[in-house]
Amino acid sequence: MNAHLAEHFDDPPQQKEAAMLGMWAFIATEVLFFGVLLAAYIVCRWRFPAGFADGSRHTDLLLGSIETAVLLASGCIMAVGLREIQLAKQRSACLAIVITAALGVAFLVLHGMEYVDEYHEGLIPTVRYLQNGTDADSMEVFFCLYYVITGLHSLHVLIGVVLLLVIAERTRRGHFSPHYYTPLEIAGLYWSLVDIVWIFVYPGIYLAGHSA
Amino acid sequence: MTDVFVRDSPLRRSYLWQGGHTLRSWLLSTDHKRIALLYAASITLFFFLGAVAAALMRLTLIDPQGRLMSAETYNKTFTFHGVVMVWFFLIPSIPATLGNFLVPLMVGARDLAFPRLNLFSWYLYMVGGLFTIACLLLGGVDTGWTFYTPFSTMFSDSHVILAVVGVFVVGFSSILTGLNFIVTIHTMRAPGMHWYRLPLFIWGIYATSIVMMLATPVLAMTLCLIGLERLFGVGIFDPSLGGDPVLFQHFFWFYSHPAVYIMILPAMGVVSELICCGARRRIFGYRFMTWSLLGIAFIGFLVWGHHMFVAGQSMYASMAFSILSFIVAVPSAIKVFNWVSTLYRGTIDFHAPMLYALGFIGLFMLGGLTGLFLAAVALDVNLTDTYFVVAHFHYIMVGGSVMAYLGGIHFWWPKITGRLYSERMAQLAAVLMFIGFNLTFFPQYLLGYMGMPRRYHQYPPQFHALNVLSSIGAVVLAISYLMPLFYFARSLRSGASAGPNPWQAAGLEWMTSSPPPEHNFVETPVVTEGPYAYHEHEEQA
Amino acid sequence: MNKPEQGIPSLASHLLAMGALWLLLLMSAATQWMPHSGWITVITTSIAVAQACIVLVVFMRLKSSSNLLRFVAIFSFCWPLLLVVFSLGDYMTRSPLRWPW
Repeated sequence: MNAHLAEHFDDPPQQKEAAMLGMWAFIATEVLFFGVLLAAYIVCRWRFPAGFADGSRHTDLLLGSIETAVLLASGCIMAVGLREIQLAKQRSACLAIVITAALGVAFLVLHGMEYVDEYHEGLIPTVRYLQNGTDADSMEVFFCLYYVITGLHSLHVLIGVVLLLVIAERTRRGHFSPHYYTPLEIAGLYWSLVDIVWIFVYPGIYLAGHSA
Repeated sequence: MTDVFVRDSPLRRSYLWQGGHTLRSWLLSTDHKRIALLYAASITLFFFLGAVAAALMRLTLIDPQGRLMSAETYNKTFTFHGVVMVWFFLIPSIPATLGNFLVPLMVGARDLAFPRLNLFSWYLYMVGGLFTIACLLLGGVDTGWTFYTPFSTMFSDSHVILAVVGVFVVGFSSILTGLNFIVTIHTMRAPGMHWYRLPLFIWGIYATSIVMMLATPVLAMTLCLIGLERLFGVGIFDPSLGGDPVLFQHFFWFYSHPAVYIMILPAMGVVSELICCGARRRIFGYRFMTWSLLGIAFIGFLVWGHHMFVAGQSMYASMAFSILSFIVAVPSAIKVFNWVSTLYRGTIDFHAPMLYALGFIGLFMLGGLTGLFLAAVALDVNLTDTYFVVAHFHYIMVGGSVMAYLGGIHFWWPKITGRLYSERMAQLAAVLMFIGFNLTFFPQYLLGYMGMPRRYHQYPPQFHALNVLSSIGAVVLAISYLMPLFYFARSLRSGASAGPNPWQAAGLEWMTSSPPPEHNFVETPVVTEGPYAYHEHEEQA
Repeated sequence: MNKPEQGIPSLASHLLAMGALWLLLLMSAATQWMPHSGWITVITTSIAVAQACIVLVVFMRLKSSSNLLRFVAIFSFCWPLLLVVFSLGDYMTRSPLRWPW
């Protein structure tokens, strides 16, 4: 049981408490990281309401909603995986984590499809932007923010997928047990953070237009 | 020399010896004390790099025509000075060196909560530093340390990206350091060490760590956006694409104003330790001191708009930020009054650390009070972008943080190295620093008040005399910065053994041997009383 | 570990939470067929907050976490609002600048 205890800690609960607090503090910095983009989004939307509504109408509501559903499901399955390891069911825990990672990949693929569509429609500022009309300029601001926010989020998903696969492998090898599963729990927290960020991105990007 | 070290037995039982003595054993060490020394060496290097830039500027300004360098070179020089001094010296100075060394010792722990993360953040610091040096070698950057848009994104043709990447990386180093401290202070205190028994240094580091974590990500993201604007033409700050440069200033100062508190809060912690030991008194108003630290940390987040009074910010926002800026002076004043009250009826010993601490109080007070001038909108419209701002900032940062940092280094030097240094040389350096500092920067208040703008290498002849005076002061200041290098080097070679507690100071770090053993304490200490129990001990005696 | 189920949230609570999240997602998407008004933003934002709370409480286990972690979690999600409120406040109270053209 003490194999996982680093020598500068007194006992496993202290180590666990430190790890959890550290992870939550890290989450706070990540939230703030995205918070800056949220602030930029809100300010720009306040300045250009019409352009943002137009831009939002150019996004793919159906694909976006499916992506959201996929991500929400993956968060649940990851939480189930944590429960399984607490119940000492290593095989099903491993399976749950692999499914979570697969759903993460599915999310990335779906979002990549959106990017491809947008390329064809000419919605990517400076790369291929073919919009004209009164709101084209302010819509460009919307799409700048869209790419920065979704790009950064996709990067986090990608990191999350890699992290989950590492954790899945460690679970398969039996590194975790009901006595020690901190890395798994921390990976779950990270994945939920990615989830929550997307929960706020979804209405901002896809639901800012109206009357589909 | 090696023979002396070998025979020196306290040294053989210390972290300096036990962890091995190859270069590899230092570069891969996860011991917080060794990492503190890695930081100390690297920030000293950057300090002198930044100081060379400052010296070049003062040299240029001796001559009203500024013939020593072109306007462009001058721009690059003050940018380099600012970037290096803010991110590579001041921000990591006290937290990453003294904090790293002392936090586990003071709370009675064997190490920080995440030792490998701690080493990793030093490597991040070095990578960031390499980017900055690369930027300098390739020709430098001319935007000022503030990277204001649209100049930094649309017009500057210098190496903005490299500089921004360097600062971005070092930002993560400070986030991770802060995270490590917060977790350590929360979870790893020794038995009996409850919150109100923590030394004020720990409270200062704690408040700073919170600010590091709640501000630095904003800087990182903002710098990311600058990079994206330059590389891909993303138009969030670019007015020609509909963006707003003032939005950059909002984001930048949301970090950079609290960053000032990252630099000063640990300095306040250090000074509290120094004052109590030097006056042999319990700190006056301990709980007020702790809450004023947290108060400054919190209110410090609500004042960033006072950097933007003339930037096109709305009048009402300026009024709100101005009032909040006045409010942040209240907890700062509480601290000054409490330090002075601690001195009252104390048995004051004017040893070198105490001289630095007393210098800190005076200079911090002058810097803080002139901050109130700048917080008043009507005055700021006149004083902004003049040397008055430069002087105010340097009184807080150099007169405040650097004095406290050096005071702390002198105070804990015997603990870190196990050796004593020449007390008289150190006292001389401290006094010289106070004189040199005032000589350098007080004329700049006057220059700014008379209307001399900052960031120019030429100026009208009526400002000549005061500029020369300031440059002379810079020479004195430079001497006082170089002096410690010599007497500390001599102390390392041939200093007398310090013993565990040369100052007869209170605090857990003085209960273990000097230098401390690898895991700090032979057995985990149990704390039974609050900090600074000087008074009681003397009464009992 | 004599009672393995103790302190471990039930499978039903997870599935229930996922059902609620999907339902809220559908409600959120359905607003796009409502007539245009500022309320849509209010509704979708409230739904997002509700969804985030579900994830925090159930999946991230704040329900059974220590008070310190709960505080850190709540605080960290409220903190960026400070940046939003003050910078947006500036834009909302600025005297309008005339366009150069």
